[in-house]
Amino acid sequence: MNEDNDLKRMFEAQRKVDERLTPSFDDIEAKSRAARDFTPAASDRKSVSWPVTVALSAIALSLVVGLASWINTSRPDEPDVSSASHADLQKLNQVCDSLLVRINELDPETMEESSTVEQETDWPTGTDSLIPFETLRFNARKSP
Amino acid sequence: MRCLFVTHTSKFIDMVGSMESDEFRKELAKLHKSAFGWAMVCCGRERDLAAEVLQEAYCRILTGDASFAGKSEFSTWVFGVIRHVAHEEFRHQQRRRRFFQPNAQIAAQACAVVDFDHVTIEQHELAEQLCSALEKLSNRQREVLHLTFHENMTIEQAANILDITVGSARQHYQRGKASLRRLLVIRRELEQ
Repeated sequence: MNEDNDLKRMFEAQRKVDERLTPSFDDIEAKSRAARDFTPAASDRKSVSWPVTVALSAIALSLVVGLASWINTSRPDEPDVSSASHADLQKLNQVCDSLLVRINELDPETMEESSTVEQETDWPTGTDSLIPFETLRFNARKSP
Repeated sequence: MRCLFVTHTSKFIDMVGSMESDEFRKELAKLHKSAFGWAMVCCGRERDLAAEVLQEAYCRILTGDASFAGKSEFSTWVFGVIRHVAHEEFRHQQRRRRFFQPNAQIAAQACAVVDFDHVTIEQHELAEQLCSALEKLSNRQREVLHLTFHENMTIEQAANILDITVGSARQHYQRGKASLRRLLVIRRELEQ
């Protein structure tokens, strides 16, 4: 009980100190009233909140749509591979095979054409009429 | 924010619809010093922040953001509103100050003396001892002890304000009191 009284005495001292620190009620109340004048009442805020929400949602939606369309248009054009036929692909395969043969015949030390093996590469005919290489490569990758 | 408390003891039910009435204002003015003391506790004894919190709490009361349902005592309700506001504000301030203001400055600000002409040196020392001991307790213990010793409230009233069960409040009260005594004894021993 004595100890409780000690604590009470200490809290009483603290109360005295706090009272000296307390700003006046009128001052705080005046500031609160001034702040209230700038703050809409809770009921008013509810009535204006939904148009704001709708407007913000519309802005956000248009931003998302705009961003999506921008991403779509900014992608690089893909080559048109619809015109590449099976015959074109076969010609390309022939060219690749010929090149591989020539590479295998190179001298591994000098990386020059071996003088011992002189072989005319049998280039496929009609290579002039090939469609662009990029297109063919793309198609070749897709073909089974 | 709606603050509804369970105890039905209010004589201020008539004021529910008239927050601007003189009676309401008088009751608030009567509570003002205690309310500021409570705001100080909730704000870690930062005077400026406590004043801001009190202002915001009065503002919410006046705008009707915090509505008095008459289910508790008027003081209990006001203290509850202050606690809610203080917790919101204190969290914001702590986050901001962690980056902009060193702790030493905060401590200096908290101890800023305004006018202690009418406070004796002994009272000042006792308050200072109590302050430093209370700082070492948990928030809940500090709050319960303040409400019971400083505001002479019952543990039930304190539990009501803190929105906790009476059993929990009693536990905080007993453990807080024991810790506080221990800390004060240690401090006295160190001073001797």
